[in-house]
Amino acid sequence: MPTKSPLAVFINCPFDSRYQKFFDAIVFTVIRCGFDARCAREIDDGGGIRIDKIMNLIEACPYGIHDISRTELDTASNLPRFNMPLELGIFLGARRYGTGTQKLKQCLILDKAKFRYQKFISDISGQDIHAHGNRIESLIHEVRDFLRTSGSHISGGKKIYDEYLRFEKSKPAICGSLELSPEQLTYKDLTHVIAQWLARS
Amino acid sequence: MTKQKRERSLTDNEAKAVARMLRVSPQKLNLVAQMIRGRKASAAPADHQFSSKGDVKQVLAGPTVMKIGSSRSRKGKRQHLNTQQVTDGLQIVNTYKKAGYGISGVTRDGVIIVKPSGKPDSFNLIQLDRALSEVGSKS
Repeated sequence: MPTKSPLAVFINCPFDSRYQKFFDAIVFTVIRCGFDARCAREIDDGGGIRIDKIMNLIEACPYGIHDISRTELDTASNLPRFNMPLELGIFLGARRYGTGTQKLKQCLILDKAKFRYQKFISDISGQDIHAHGNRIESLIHEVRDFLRTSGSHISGGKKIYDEYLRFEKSKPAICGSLELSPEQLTYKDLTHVIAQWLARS
Repeated sequence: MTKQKRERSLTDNEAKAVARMLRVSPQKLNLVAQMIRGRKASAAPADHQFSSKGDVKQVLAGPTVMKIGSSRSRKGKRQHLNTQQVTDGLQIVNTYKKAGYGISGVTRDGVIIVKPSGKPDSFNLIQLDRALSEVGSKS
């Protein structure tokens, strides 16, 4: 049975303001590489059970990008943030126990340092964990290298990073023309702005 | 005494096409025309193939794109619409359509940019198109 969305990439990462630039860079790179960026942010409609929606999203996505670099204690509550490892677990579970195309799922697991994960999620040892070192350029390189297997020719990470910087530079002006501030852009807004900007540039 | 030859008003790498009495609204036509305005002659037909404005594409396929496609390039050679390119483009569009995707456009390195699912929350696509045009013309 063919996948419903063969180009869908599930993005599993923190949504806080400190991570916003990294999140934007992942979304930009995914769209730039010719894929459809999907994440839990697009289902913030308040209705239905959130975990069901996330599982439906994971089921629909043959690719996954999981950044577990912010699996750390929350400064306000002093409790660890488990959403990313949980969603990574669901993704790996779908690949392990799912049937048909679910078994073909591919994922990229990112952390800020290469072997840091062994201290808090050692059960995923054996997976190839990539480190981005909290640098956007490395993050874009990693995401691009993961998605280049799609078959089409995709420019190198350096070029995509330069394009990302150009986009970030023009984003305030685009938002200004739309009478919005960059912080007001919702996830859906952002994906449309990126896609149209890339289509024109 | 023979009439003096009129100087070409456009430069060698420019072309002008005029179409009158088109049965389409100027606003709708301009949305598609903006996609290819200022683009290279070789890139314009490809961009145009990925437009979702079906009826306008038909209109533009005649007077505008064909004229641009056959304009003189900088080197002085004639460029023609590459029919293979167009056929390939249509096949790609159909493949994406079957998979449930729209196409926003194509990058210079040939990557097809998939149209994101759903509609934007804070604006519509016409407003976004206008905003990008404004920003593009200023920069």
